Amino acid sequence: MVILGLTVLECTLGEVPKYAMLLVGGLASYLAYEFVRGKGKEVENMAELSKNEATLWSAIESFPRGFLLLDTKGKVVLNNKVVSQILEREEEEWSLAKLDATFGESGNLTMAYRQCLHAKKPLDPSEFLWKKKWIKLYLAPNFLKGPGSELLGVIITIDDVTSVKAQERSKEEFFTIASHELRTPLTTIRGNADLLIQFYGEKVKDEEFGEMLSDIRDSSVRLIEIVNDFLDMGRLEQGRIEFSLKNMQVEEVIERALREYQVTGSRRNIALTWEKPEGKLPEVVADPDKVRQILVNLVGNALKFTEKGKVSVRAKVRKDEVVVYVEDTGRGILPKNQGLLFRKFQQAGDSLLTRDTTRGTGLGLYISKLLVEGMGGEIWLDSTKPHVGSTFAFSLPIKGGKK
Amino acid sequence: MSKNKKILLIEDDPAVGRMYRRLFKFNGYEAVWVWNGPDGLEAAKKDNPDLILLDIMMPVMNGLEVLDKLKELKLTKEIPVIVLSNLAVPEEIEKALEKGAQQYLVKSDYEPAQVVALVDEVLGMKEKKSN
Repeated sequence: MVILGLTVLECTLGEVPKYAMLLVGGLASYLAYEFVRGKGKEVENMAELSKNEATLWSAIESFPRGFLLLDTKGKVVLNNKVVSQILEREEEEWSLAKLDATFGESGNLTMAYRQCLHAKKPLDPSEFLWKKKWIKLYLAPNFLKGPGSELLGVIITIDDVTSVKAQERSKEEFFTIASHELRTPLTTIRGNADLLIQFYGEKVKDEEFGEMLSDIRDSSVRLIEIVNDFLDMGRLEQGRIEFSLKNMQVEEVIERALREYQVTGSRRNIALTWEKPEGKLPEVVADPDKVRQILVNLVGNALKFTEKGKVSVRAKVRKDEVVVYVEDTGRGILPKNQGLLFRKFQQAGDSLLTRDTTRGTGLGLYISKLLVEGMGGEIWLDSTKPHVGSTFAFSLPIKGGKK
Repeated sequence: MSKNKKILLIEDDPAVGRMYRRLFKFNGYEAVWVWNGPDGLEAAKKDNPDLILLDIMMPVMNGLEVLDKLKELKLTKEIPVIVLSNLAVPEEIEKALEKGAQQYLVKSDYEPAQVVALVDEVLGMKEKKSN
């Protein structure tokens, strides 16, 4: 009965509103169809038509968003009352000109309407601040019988997303404050445990006691790392980490990062080597601190997953990039796990239960990926073989090379 | 080198303050600990410390304000300052360094021995400069 003429507007709408949109869109198409063709021509049962029409109207009026249906000439065919409520202006019939006058410079609907009509596909939703409200606009073409069929016009919905925005902001604030508040007590736990081990470890000759102390220390260090990972991830995802890109020699950063790991490597009898290329590498454009963070992560992973053998770091020029390789002689990564490597909270273990043995948050590679991409490079698993080892690689653009 | 050097610690969290005071005492320093900025400024003038460890997030007067005041006063402007915080925000770090802090460290990322090593390093730099 109802022609579903509207393509799915936007996946972030969530399931229920999405179907509501489809329903309303479909009903709207149906009504528009009637408008275009003349009422009743193709409908035999007039009683059913008026019932459908009543259902349609009530659906559009009940829909908790401003809803407008426009024809191909830019005329508003119908709109619900929510439009007037959001825009705080009583109008029986809205038009593109009235909408533009109301929004002022913030939102140009005439232009968006033309774009949508021309592109024949939904526009990316746009958000802007109007008065004290955050307004979100969706525009989608209205087809008679699905995409590619006769174009009837454009559907516009206007949403007041002020409360959603407020929630987003409080989430960001929560991250910063929580991380600070968590780190302060963790610092004292870690610090005092360290001091006890350093200055009282010799005095107390009790094995259990020493073990308890180092467990407290190691756990607090781990908790601090988790807090740091969560904080980094949150900031990166929200685009709140600034990259201070400059011309730099990647060798210097590699040497500095490896020094931090010499102790861990030798403690576990794993050789950590830097196979320095002959001659100087060209300068790359990157943020030294971020490159260091990526290296520390890759080398740390390599050491963690290598029982015996070595971890080596290499670097070479490839086209307009410098590629850094971190190779280990670890257990390798199974093909079925390779696709998940750079995703959030994933580790290449066999199951969820094996995750815990590696003592990580499963965020390291994901964070490294965000960091590399923030500098215009890429990160990938270069090669892996069961029981032979894995090589991870990342690239950084050379100065004057590609953007 | 560390013997008999005086460290002034300006830190509002009592557990963190006690821990650092202990840390420096164990490592042969003399450590003075105050809770807030105004007391810190008084102590900086009166006690003539060799180095100041300064927290950023504090009530009454934040660390950056304290740093400004320290660098304004003739009596205290030569004293090296290491800024301590758990707010690892790059802008804050840069601001502190611009205002004349010698170093910046995120408390939770440093083990106590590293904090002492950093203090030694900064004191060594100061010594070199005055020789």
